[in-house]
Amino acid sequence: MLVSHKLKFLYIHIPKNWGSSIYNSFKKIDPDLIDTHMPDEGNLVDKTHMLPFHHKEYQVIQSSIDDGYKIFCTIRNPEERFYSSLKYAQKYLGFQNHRFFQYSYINSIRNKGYLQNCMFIHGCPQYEFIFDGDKKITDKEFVCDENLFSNLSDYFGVEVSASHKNPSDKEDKLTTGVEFEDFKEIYAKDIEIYKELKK
Amino acid sequence: MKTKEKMSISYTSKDAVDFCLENEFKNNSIKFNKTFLEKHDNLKELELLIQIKGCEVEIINNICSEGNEWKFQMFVNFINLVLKTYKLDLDCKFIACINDGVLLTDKYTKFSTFGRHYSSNHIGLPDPLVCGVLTFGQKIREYLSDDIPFSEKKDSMIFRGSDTSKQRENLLNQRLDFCLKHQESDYIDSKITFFAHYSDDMLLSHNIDKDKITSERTSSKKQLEHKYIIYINGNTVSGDRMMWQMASNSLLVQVKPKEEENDYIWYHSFLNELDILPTFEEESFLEDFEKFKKENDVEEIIKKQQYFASIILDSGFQMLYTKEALEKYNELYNAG
Repeated sequence: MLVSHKLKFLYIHIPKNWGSSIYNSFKKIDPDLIDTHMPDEGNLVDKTHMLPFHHKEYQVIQSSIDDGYKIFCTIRNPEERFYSSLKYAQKYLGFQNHRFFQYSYINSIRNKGYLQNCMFIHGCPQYEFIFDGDKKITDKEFVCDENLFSNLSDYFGVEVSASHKNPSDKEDKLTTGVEFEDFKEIYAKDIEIYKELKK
Repeated sequence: MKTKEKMSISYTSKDAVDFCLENEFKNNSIKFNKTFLEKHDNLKELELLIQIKGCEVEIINNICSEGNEWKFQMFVNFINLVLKTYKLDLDCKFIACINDGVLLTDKYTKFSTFGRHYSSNHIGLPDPLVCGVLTFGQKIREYLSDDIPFSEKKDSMIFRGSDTSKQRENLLNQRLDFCLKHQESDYIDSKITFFAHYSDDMLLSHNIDKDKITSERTSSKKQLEHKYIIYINGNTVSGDRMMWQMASNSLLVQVKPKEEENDYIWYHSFLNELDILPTFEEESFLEDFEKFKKENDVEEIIKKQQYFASIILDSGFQMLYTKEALEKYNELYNAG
């Protein structure tokens, strides 16, 4: 979660959605940019990637909402993001590179394990971050694509430049042995949102 | 409930819990247990009479041979964990059998952590040993650490197991019969790794050359070099073995048990419903298997097996199932 008092925004950091690039880019514009990147509390809350029901627990987040800051997020192609989260689970969460463990990880996502344990937050569907029940909390969503930074520049009226090139996740698909097609119903709402934005 | 067609790999843990519970509770006599258990004092080996009040567990009686106390402890710990995690408020007594098979002739419904005959009225519960060792202890990681892709495996079948199976009229059992039948096969490598029941004399009296059907213990790595792993029931169902083998990149296939050997474990109804454990008659095993191989996409079935294993071996799923089974039992017990 990023808060800029200078640009008056709250960035909803959906994991695997180029959030580090967003941070690095805005840090150049606002050196006082607040990043809630802190250790979690007993694996319950990932402060970097907070779900809406946690917002009110953190003053810096809640006050930016109360003060009417622009709330935005980045939305990524759900299929790309799916493979990226599997890669993350393998690299950082100890899920071995074996289809059984990848299925185990996806089961936890399907069973909303991220509500109990933030180790599963990287696979959490994107819509869960931008909807609080039926209420949408973001003012604007940007697609993670080649136009992202020019679109951000237009929106904020400042030059926002990419800090680095985000890696392609095409290779990730090849190494997992898991098909997004088999699990896309978990991300059905994300697919809708993404398609709508791409229009 | 979703239809079988939808249940490729798109079912959830809750779907699986619902399906298993519906089937486990299909035949039961729980409503008579309250009266029966008031004065029941005839437990068998590795059975416990348990009382739950609120979310407190008390062992009222048990039969436990020396050295097996830890099995009781693991079971009670697991039940305690479920009761406390879900803050259950129950008031019932039940018998739990944690021995390898509960008798079909028992009229009063018990909980059983091992397999029991498919037509029995007992309710299966997850075996805390499987849960504890494979899942919590993450033994599954060890089993699968040396697994290789299906395409790199040998096109052959393997069976390894002890000589435990239900005794047949010929005084042998399915495992022995199978190993004997395929002892000369180049394609099926089926061997007994441990003789617990059959002495050399007994084998000799059947004209069995023990060396031809015996092997040293075979590591999971060695077993996983084969494309196909054969499953044959032991005393009942080898729930842990079945699970790690299903989780692997090999295909697990079963030798169909005969009527009296057909035991089920707590997730068996779901397993059968999904049609993901190819099963072949003992007499025509290889012929039927070859036909199956030609007609089916084996790797797709492996994916289904792996997904199934990932659901069953999830500790949260096992706890959820146990919670719902206890609640349902409690409801029926008190309704009677």
